[in-house]
Amino acid sequence: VADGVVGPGIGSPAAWPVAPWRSLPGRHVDAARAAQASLGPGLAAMRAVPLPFLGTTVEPTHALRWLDAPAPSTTTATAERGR
Amino acid sequence: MTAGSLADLDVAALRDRYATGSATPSAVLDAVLARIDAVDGELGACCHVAADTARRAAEASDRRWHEGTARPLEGVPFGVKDIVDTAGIPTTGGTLRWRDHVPACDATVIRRLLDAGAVLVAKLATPELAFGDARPGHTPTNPWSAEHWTGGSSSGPAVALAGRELPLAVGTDTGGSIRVPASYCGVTGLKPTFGRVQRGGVWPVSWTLDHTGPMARTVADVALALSVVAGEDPGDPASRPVPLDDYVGATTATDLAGVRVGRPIDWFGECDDDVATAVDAAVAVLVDLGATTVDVPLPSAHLAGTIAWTITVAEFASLHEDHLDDLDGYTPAAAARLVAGATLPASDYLRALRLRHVFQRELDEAFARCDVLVTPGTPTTAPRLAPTLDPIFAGGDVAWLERIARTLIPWNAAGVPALVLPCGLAGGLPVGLQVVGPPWHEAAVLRVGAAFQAATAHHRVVPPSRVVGPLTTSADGLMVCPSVQ
Repeated sequence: VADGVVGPGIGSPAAWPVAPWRSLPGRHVDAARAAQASLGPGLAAMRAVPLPFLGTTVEPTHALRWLDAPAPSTTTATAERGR
Repeated sequence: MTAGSLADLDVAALRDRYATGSATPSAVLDAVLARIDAVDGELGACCHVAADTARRAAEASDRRWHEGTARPLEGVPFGVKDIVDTAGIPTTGGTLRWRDHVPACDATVIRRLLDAGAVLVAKLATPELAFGDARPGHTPTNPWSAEHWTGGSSSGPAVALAGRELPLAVGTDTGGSIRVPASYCGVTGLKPTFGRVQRGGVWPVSWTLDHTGPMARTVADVALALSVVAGEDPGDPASRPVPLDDYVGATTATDLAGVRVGRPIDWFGECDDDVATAVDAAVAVLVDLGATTVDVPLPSAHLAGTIAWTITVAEFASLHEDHLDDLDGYTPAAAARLVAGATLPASDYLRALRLRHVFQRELDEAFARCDVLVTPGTPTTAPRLAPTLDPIFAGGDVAWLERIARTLIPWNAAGVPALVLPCGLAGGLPVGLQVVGPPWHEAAVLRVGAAFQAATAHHRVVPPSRVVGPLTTSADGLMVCPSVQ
């Protein structure tokens, strides 16, 4: 934990897994650290949401699937009520 | 009507005049180019004006109207944010890295507009890559107050519309970039459902959250433009074979009988008092039109900003990974975000992607109780510029998210349609109202927005610096530009 930010790889330059083929000037690292540190409370809140291993796994593709097959439209129902 | 005042007309009024022969696309283009010449030195909305190309297109439109073969947007001038490819016309993304880029092909959305007869006039200002700082030439001025920010990143489109330089524009929206400037500049902008409008040829910020959408001065014009640009695109993996609705027809309703308007509580209610007052008054108008209201909880909304930021910086870094060794080629904000994204743990990125669906499931419950949601467009009016043109990023990204986009980002994360339109003034600056619908139900959102605009005059109020003709006073005491009624 560094700069109030929870989790590995953030806020601690020594822990940053910067690829060996990439050199990052210090001022850019500092700016990125500031950007990430400012989001620390939000990241902590996001990481605190339970996503249990057991049960149905929520995957990233669920979001697109939801758009493909949204819940029954209430707009249609409204139009029918209006008739 | 003078040639200059033709530039004040909205899209519907232009089509009426073309149809009756009282104006031609060439005459309107002359007026638009004259307006740009007169005011854009001050407003700075345009980063490239394609006058010669536009003149040829307008002349072709003259012939089509004369021959009776006019298409839906025949002769309508428009501009597009400078991250959308336009064949043969520079597209720079507001960045030095591609400052000499001239695309060989039009973006799909541009091709659809041109095929519908619209006349491309100008490329419009954007902060670098729609996610960094604004370089010189991409720092437009809010027509309502030069001391206040335009919002971004579709800043050029919003200023061109509010400044009466153009009647129609195309913007993009990854975390509110159509709707923030629409709210701050007093114009109307739609972020459609994710995948509803094609993204081919639109420079990406985040492939998971990027949306393309129309901006105009009225909901009816936005609906007409959406009917042209919406549709499936096999080249865009976000595109879906979902039938289009009658968007224009949806805007002819003048009452909202039977429509249930949901008001998200808690997170969305935290806004400036004068913004809350204007939004409450707008909701009262909707009720007068026949709508009913219901409070709806969205417990995960407060996470949406972090979810969207995490996804956006990670994907932004991936998109620009080939250039991470040359960060000095980017503006400081873009460089900081690239590094932040490149060093973000994969687990955070994946968690953010997974949590999108958690929020979507809350929307299922919300939309079981209402047809649309209504929130403030932005929690405040446009913030004051001091001491630089970029005060928001200087405050850090959390400040940016909380001050600007807290009411907007959730709908990017969910992928649902969201419309922002003006609903009043506070301290002389526009206040925006946002209407959000279930996936693919742009028609429901447009219906509510159009009914509101039919009952009010907020969308016809012109910035004081842009008053060019005789004004009338509306019932609520607002100055109204007659030519855009």
